Amino acid sequence: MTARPWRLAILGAPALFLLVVFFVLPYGEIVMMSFRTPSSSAPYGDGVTLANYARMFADGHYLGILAETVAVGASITAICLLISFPIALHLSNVGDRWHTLFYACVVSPLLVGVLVRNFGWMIILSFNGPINQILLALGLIDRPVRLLFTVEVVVLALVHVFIPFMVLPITTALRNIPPSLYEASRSLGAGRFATFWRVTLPLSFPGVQSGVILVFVLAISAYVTPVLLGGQFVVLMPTVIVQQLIAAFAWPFGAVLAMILTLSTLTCVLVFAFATRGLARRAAIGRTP
Amino acid sequence: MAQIEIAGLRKAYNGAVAIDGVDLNVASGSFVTLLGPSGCGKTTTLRCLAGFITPDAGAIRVEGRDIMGLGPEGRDFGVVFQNYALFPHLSVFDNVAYGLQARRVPKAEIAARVAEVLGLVQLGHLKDRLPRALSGGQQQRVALARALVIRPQALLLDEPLANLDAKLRFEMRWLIRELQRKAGITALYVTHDQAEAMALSDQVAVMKQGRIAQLGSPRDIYQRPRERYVAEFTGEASYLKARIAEAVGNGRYRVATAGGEVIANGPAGLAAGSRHLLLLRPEALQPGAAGLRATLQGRFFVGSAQHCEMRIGDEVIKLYLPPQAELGEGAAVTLAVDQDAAWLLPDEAAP
Amino acid sequence: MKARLILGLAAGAGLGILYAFLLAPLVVVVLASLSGGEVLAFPPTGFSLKWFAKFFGHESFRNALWLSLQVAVTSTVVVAVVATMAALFQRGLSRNLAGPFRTLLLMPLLMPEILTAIGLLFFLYQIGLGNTYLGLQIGHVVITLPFAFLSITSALDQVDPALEEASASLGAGYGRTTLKVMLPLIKPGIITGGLFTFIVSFDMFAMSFLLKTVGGNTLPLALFDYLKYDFDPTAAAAATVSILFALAVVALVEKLVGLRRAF
Repeated sequence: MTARPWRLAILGAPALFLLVVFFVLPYGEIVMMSFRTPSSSAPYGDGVTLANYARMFADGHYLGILAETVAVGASITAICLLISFPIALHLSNVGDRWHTLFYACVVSPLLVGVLVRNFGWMIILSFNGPINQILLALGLIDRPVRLLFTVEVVVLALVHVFIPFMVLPITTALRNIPPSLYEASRSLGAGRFATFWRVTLPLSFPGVQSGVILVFVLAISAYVTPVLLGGQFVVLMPTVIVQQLIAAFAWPFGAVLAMILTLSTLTCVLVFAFATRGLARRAAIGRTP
Repeated sequence: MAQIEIAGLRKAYNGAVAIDGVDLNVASGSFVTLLGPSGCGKTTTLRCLAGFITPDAGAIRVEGRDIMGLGPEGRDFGVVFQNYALFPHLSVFDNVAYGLQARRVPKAEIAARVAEVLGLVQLGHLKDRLPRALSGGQQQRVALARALVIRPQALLLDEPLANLDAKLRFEMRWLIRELQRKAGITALYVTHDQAEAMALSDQVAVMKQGRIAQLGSPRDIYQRPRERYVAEFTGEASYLKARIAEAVGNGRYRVATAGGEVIANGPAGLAAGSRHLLLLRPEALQPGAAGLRATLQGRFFVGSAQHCEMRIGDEVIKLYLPPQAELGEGAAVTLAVDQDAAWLLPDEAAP
Repeated sequence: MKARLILGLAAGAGLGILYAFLLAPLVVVVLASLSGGEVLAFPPTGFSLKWFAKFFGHESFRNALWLSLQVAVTSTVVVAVVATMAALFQRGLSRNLAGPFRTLLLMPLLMPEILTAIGLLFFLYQIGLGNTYLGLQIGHVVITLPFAFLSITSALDQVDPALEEASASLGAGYGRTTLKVMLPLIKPGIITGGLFTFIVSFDMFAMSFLLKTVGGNTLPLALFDYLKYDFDPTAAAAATVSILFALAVVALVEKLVGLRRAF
């Protein structure tokens, strides 16, 4: 049964209002802002200009940072995938009794703020932290070494932050594979490994695809972790953008950088989705017509 | 083609016994069906055989060779699943070729064998389709082709027709039987549909609570069931309490019932005076000059016949009358009993 | 057989390491907050709750905690109501309208939080809500709305349309059917959505960072500021408070709808 149209409209109105006014319009505002003139007395001036874009493209510095951001994002995504797949495989197979426990292990980090998790890594990697203690005890080093503030640490921490985002879609995809397919494969003479390679892997692809896209987008736009764990040694796009907005008060130029970051991300995602569309389409588990 | 021997197979899940000592011999090239209601252990037996689950006890031998140590991939059985279990990401050709590729058969031979078997199931023209683009019946035929193409030792079929509609089920019955005969392959079939079981099989094993209650030809289990459970599960049946008056031949008795005396078959050596149940299949009864005295209690028309309930004393039996028969409710009828279709069962309720 | 056992053990060990990797930062934070020593060291020396006392005694932390709770609770209430209405709205829409509506509602989840925050920063400034509490609150609501919407629609999808028809055939109008049939049935979904909203809002960083009100820090911001200059177990205590909230949410969600269905 359905409500009369005006009643239905009342139900939808608040959400539509919120999203159109405070989500769609702000994104439009980023686009607009990128064409405004800078101003020394206010965040932006009144004129309209293309100079901000010209400045960005003329300066190899920003394009270099963009390239590094994309590269870091891609490596985070790849490592994340490698770590998440075994976890997802385990999670989709584990018996009911233990299921909740392992699920909680994966989901709990998701519900703890990024900042807190980064702080955990700061403790682990600090001068007095367990890693240094262990290395000292093993005699591999004779005084604590600096482990923080490298791009590797940023990658490690972000991989940790994004694992749940990769694990959950892959687990869902794996759980959607009917067990009889594994049995069919085995009974047709394919061993465990061949079955994994020819059945499990291709059929999990829809999950892998959404996980990869999700993690890549999040990794490219991560702000807190590079700042906290990379310090001034790791400079990525989001850091630069926020600097422009908060410290330099150069909103139009910050908006340009945000635009470029968004468009590059979108391009990467579209290229990836296009390149893998065949795999994804085939693997979508079809229901009997 | 191979002879399969199952001995003392047992399996329990968390204390709940699924199969409780199954013994079964499947002769080479024969078609044997495990028939029973859900939860009787028929599917568990088949899955033990396929190697999908490990039984707690018992042995499985193929041509005398113990295969318990082998995984499903080493057993060389073609399995057909209830939900078909076609690989959704592989084309019809690749689905069928899967087992041959796993066996590292040369490419040219794969192409030839797949084409041949797809021809047998009349799907050659659809070989490039993905399974989801096929109808249920077509999917089932692909599943069958996939299991046959590897020329397995035996075909294991787990309710393969359960998801098809009635008409298709009929056609597929013929196809399965024909392919099995043509290939001369040993087949073990699992179903809860007694008509399917009898139509397809050389031997039917009726299962009850994790054991085989009776193994025999379709005719045997239908006409000469060993217990009421088997009679019940193999078709429409009515029962009358009966006492043996005297033996009138080998395995033939004159028995007294509430409706009068009749001649019936039964196991040899039943003592005179002992109490039994007289199994009457509906088709064994017809209005006649002499036989059981009964009154018509109710009837309904189903097109090809009228299904009737007859009262005899305080018991009720069922039979079919021709569609044109005119009988009012409450009418007294004398029912002639076809001696070969009346069978004496042990009366499980009697002390 | 032996090879398989070794393989199994290796797989188990590998998984153990992966799960340890997932939990290590959280465990370390909690242990560090209970340290009896004076510096953030590992393994912690002794046991004490003094860092929690110090955390609650620290004025800027206390204010930040208060602001965070205020924002998170407000978000929860607003979002629970708006998302429930939106979910019912989506159910009433025809198929070709429901799709776009759903996509629009989920957009804040799909777009990076930092970009949404930047857009809002510009926009709120223009309409005169820059650096205000209301602006911050709006940012939190926009980001958390999709989380609640997802769990409520998934609960709603489980409701058999025949129940609505049954209610209507018994003479109940749309309003009564919604109140007496639909809402009770999707209550677990609404509560789960509310819990997610609370925790996501409580932990939100990028949005709060860009929209922060003058002089008002949320707990993550206060922790961030603190960590820039200090590195002692008080920060660990602050972080532990956040972890405890998360664990409480996990436990509640598991009890209400089961983790597997919620994610």
